[in-house]
Formats: sequence, structure tokens, C-alpha cells
Amino acid sequence: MLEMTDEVILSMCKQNHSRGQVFTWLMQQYQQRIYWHIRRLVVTHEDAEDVLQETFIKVYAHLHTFAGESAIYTWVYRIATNESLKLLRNRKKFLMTSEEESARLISQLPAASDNNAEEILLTFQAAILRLPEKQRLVFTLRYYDELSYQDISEVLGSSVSSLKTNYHLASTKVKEYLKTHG
Amino acid sequence: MKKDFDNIGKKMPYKTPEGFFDRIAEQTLAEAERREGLNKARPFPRTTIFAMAASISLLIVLSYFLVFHRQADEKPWAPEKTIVIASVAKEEKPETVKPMEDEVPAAQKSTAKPAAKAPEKQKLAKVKSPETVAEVLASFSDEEIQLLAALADTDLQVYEQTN
Repeated sequence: MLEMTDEVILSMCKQNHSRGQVFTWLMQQYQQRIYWHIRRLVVTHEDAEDVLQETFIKVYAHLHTFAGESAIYTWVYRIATNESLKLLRNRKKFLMTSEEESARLISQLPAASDNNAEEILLTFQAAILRLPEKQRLVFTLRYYDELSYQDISEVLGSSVSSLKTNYHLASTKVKEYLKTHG
Repeated sequence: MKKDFDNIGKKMPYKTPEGFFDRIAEQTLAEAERREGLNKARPFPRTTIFAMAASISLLIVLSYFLVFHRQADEKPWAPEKTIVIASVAKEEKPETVKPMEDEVPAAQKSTAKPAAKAPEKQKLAKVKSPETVAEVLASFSDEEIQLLAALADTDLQVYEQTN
């Protein structure tokens, strides 16, 4: 069986008839990772489902124009991140501060969570949601998705050194929050 | 990385509906194909159509204001208005003066010699000059002076011109 490398995917995309096949393969390959990445940012399942659909619809629409300058999965992550941020900005009310926006997301946590979820998991998510946007993105991509700083740099368009600083700040803040609330 | 949050790990507190990941790929592909079909039916993206409509509206509004302001600029301003009114007044004066001239010789018959045709012409010419306006005003009836006063009230410039 043909191994689905980025090159193979790109060459298949050029042939329009196999586009659906490639898309289905891409979704099966990445949908869970991308879903959880989105879910950590937008909290509720309904929003995560919407953003996941929008993300892969964009992937489908632009697959044939994808130049292959970055890995496909970092490209998909970038689209998912941008779509998530777009939804959060649309939801954010006029003149709402980032602290208020974080509080809104944290208030959705109990309803969005499993009833049997451990309290520490909720506190940990609340600590992440309290972080500034950039730190939150770097932290979740690094901690949960285990992306390399180079890959995160491609996803977020920031320098590696800036990402390392942001991750360090984020993990310090999360630890402090867990100490006081955990 | 893991050492920092060893007691937590990567577990998530969230739940997802059962079978969600089994159906989402199919649903998304169907939606993507549907939207592509719509985009093919529509030669321009919706945003482009909105942008074009907005540009055309802006052009219409701008051109309206440009034309409107140009017309406003072309409208005579006060000095030109004065000239127009003054010239109208000058044209009208001989007509109003003429019947007066008929009356004036009648009134002045005892004091003045009968006016010849040539002096009449000179008199008409003199009426136009500002020096003889006082004489002409003196020969106006009360009603005519009231009319002139009313005109002077409505348009100060006409008043100034006639004085």
C-alpha cells in the first residue's frame, strides 16, 4: 500500500478525482488531534464541532493550492487555530476584556465537562484558560499536542525563542494557579 | 514537561457525544462539496460581490456630492448677484423713469422750458449716472419711494447700489 507522505498527498490532490479520498484520509488522520486542540481553546463541544468542520472545509477548498512549504499537519493546525480564534473573537462582546473573556470560558467548563471528571482536571483547564492568548496557544500545542517549537513556530508564525519564553511564562503561571487553587 | 504536571497528565475533563468521530468526516465532506457546488454556481465569491457593490455605492455617493458642490460653486455669489440685480435695476429704471418724465415736465411747466428731444436723451443718460439719482428720487412719488425702501430692506446691496 502506498505510504501517505505529504508528497503523495500533494500529487494526489493535483488529480481532482482523488480529492475526496485524500480529504477523507486527512480527516481520519487528524480529526481527533485537531478536534481536541480546538476544544481546549473554545471549551464547548458545539463550538469545537463547528470550528472543526470549518477547518476541514477550508482544507478541502485549498488542498489543490497547498504549496507544500510546510508540513500538511502544521498547515491544518494553523487553519484550526485561526478558525478557533476567529470564533472566540466573534463571541467576545464589545469592550469585553481578555480577563472577562477568560471568565466566560471558565464558566462554561463545568457544563462542558464529564460529570466524573476529576476536580484537578477542571482546575488545570481553568488555569490554562486564564492565560493570555499567545501563552495559552503555545502551552496547549506544546504540552498536549507535543509539537516541536519549530512546528509551533510554523503554526503561530512566531520565533522559536519567543515561543520558549511564552511557554516558560505559561507553565509558571499554571503551576502558581494550581498551588493556590489545587 | 511532563514532570511539571505529573499528577495531571494529558487527560481532559471534556466529553464528546458517542460516535462523533465516526460521522464527522462524512458530514464535513458532504458540506465541503455542497459549498464548492455553490461557489461554482456563483462566479464571484460573496465577499467580492459585496466589495463591488460597496465600491459602486461609494462612487455614486461621491459623484453626487461632487456634482452637487460644483453646482453650488457655480451659483452666483453676492457680488455677482449685486451686478445682476443692479443691471436689472438699471434696465428697469428708464421704464419707471419714463412716465415720470411725462409728469415732471407737466409739473415743472411753469419753471422749466419744454424739453427738446436731444436733452431728453441726455437726461435719460444722466439718470443712469449716480450723480442724477438724487434728482430722479426727488421726482419719485411717495408710493414709488416706499417701494424702493421695501426693496432696500429686502436686499441691502440693491439699496447700496441705488444710493
